[in-house]
Amino acid sequence: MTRLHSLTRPLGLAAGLALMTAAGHASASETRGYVVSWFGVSTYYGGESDCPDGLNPMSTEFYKRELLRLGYPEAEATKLLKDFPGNPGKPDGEYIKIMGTRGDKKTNVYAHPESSYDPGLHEVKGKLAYGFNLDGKTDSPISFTDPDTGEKGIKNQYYRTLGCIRSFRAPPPAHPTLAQAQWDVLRDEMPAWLIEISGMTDPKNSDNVTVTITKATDHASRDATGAIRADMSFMVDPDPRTQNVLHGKIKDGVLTTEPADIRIVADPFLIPEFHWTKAQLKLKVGEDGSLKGILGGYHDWYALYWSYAESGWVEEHSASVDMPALYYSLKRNADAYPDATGQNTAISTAYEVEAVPAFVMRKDDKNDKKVSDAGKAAQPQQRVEATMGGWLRKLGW
Amino acid sequence: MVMLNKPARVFGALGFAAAIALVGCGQKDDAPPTKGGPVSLRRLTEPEYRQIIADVFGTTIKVPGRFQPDTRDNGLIAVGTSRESVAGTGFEQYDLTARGIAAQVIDDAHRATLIPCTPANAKEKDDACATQFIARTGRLLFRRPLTKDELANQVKDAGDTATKLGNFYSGIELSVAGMLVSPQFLFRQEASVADSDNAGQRKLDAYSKASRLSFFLWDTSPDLDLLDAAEKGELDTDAGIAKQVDRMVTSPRLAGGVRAFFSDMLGFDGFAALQKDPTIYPKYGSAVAVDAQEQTLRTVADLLVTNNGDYRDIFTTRKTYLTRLLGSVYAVPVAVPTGWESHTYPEGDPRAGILTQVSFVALHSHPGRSSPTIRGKALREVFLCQKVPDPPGNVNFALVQDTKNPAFHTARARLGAHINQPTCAGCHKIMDPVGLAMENFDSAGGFRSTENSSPIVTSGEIDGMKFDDVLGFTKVIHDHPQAPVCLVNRIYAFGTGRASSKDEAEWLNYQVKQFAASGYKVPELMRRIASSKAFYRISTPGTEANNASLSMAGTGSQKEATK
Repeated sequence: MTRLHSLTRPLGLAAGLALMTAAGHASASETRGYVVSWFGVSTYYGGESDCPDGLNPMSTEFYKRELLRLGYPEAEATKLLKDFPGNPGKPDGEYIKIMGTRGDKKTNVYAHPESSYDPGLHEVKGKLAYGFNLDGKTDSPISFTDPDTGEKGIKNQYYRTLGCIRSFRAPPPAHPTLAQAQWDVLRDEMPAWLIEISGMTDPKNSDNVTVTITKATDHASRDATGAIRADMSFMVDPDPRTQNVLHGKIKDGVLTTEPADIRIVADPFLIPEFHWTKAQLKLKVGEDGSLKGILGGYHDWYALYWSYAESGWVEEHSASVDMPALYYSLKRNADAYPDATGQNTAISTAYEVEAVPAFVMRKDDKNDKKVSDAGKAAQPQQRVEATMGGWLRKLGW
Repeated sequence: MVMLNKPARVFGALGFAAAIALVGCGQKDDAPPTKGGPVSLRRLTEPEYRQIIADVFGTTIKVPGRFQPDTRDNGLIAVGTSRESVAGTGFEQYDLTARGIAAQVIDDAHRATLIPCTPANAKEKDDACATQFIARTGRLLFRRPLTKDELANQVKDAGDTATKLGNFYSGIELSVAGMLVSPQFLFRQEASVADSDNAGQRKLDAYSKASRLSFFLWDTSPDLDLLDAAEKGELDTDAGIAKQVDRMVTSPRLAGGVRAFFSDMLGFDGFAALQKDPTIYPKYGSAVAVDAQEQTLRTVADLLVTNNGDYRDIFTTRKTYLTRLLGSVYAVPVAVPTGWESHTYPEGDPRAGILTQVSFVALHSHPGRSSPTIRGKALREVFLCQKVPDPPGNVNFALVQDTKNPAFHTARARLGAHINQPTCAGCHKIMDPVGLAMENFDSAGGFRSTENSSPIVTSGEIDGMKFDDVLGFTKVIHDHPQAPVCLVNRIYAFGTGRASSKDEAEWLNYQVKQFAASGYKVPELMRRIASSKAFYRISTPGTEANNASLSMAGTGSQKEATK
């Protein structure tokens, strides 16, 4: 099991830090556990320069556009949308049925978006985005530049697609509406996601660490502020679908990992399962015990499309995501793993990840007995801190 | 008793039960005589009410709502209830609750179980069936048999209601609701009789004895065995009382009585109004508060009842119980996803004993900061029975409240400056060294080693005993001679519903010595008190002791401490 790290209780006093450092480094390395406290698609907000073509229309606007295109007179289109969003199956929700077959007037446009024309999605044309240089190229025309580090060659075509949709935009520290709404539901409904960092010899600089990403059998719980409660205990779900082992290093307090596949069972409300290839992590190991950063990699673009389209009209109208437009944009911006026709099957993505300290526990396969050694391992540090006062007094503090 | 420790541990609660039974049989009450105290009229506490309903009607009956708050007197709600009445709004709450319970008693899910007969016609009254139910239920609720008139009136009212509403069960419902709001149920009404063995003295009557026994040992009303014993006159003899006491002390239900006593003594009713600033202490919340109380009660019951341990070890025990929620506060892993898990802190860990648990350090703190003064006051008053005067009205607290004062990083530094004010120094010297020992624990019970980047020093001295840190402090309290003295006084007051009188000082001193001789075993102490004549003695007019002034055996150090 992963133990809590000492920096949750930092000592400001230089002498205290020196003592803690000496005590903490006596062991070669440590393992820290975390529970993911925030996860959402990374959509850099840089203001108007992100979307010089303007933002995408709200659903009322593109629904009316489509009604007019389908031949409804202005007055009737207005009447149909009068009680927007209406109720499915009720007379005032008639437009819902019309929109659901707006391609060829008979086919479900969400399941078969190519029954519709491409309405065209306003896409990001700014130069800045978070993510990773997934293909190693710095001069690619689709490359972004990391707004914090200035790193060039960042690939995040998913952001290019989504970044001009209003529900994916929010000036920091606010989160975009849709991502926030999804996480608010998921963190209560979905078993927690866990991260462990082992082989950490120094939280600021460790040359060789192993990062595991797993799913818990338990749900995260909230604290009095509504945030994910820190220092809770979680049992790792042995489900092989969510067992990821990454290798990396920590330099100047930033953890980075080498490219690898990352597969995480999620929730149909967001997506049944994430499966990134060439995925990497870049997480700041905070002195408050937190992790904060980016997970990025290539992901099957159609699975991402379907994660929105599966709810049909609901997400389309509430998040103002024009589904056929989204479909064509994702297909157009996909940038990896071409199929036999040359169509790329994956798209570069980046997601924000935040995590707080947690006890990560596993069952002993041989005995089916819960292992709790890591938690016990946390306590010598408490003892160091508890006796700190006595030492300092003896030193004349 | 010492010889019985080992088998008790080996055989667990069962072995312990047998051991206690052996000790109880044939023991003589050779304690100094007392004059007793007045009969009491004690309003049921909310936990008592709920427990009675569960015992009489079953745990599936829900008890909705909250009741009129209880009052604490002389450190105990058990004493405060002797001074309680029922306000108009309080009665409304009782009435609503009673109606809710009565409706459940007669509903389809419960009537077949709770009503021991079936009416000849459910649409008509059935006096025979109603009598059977009301007599049995009334006896349990009133803690004595209903008088002939009471029973006749209840049956008549039930019958009239059944006739008017065309439903036998509506009559039963009315009867249950009526009994639940009657003073005979809501108040523990004691009655005395002449003590035939001691001319000129009085004692509780048999049913009052049964109630006092049951609430003291089990925190509930007498069961059928105890009521039968009272009815047969068995509680009029020492042997009869000893038999019942032994039965009850060896029952697993003793844990309920022990838990109720400690919940009262530790002031857990205070959690109802306890608030923490969520921005400073996000881990604290109402669920943590509930678990924190249960943690301490489980710790105490496990140590004192299950393992028949030394009372003083509640201050030093490393064994406790945790939920995952508490694990997050203590930064300890908890494997079980729900429920409780036993946990033993390793040697040297700063957590040991109930004084380091959330239930103490959080309850006795401010919403946004710890308070060595409040904690020190609480420790002296709760565990040492020493009264610390309230602060004068014109004290300037600005310095101690300014936790960000750059000149005073720690509570120790702030209080050091504060007590330079002459009007404050006297009391703070009593309280602060005690509370400063617990400064490693913040207002919500979390561990910390620094405050504002300065190290927290927890060494100090209490009543001439020095300690280096919080662990040393818990050992000092463990060995404090006043701790068992206080416990004996408190537990006697809990059982009698009044503060002990000066007249009882010698008797209490005797009990303290017996408590020590037993190895500070609380079940044995409770058995000894429950078996004593003093526990049931009622003062005759003109001899009532001065209940208003708390006089406690062995309190010599109290005056020293409160100077």
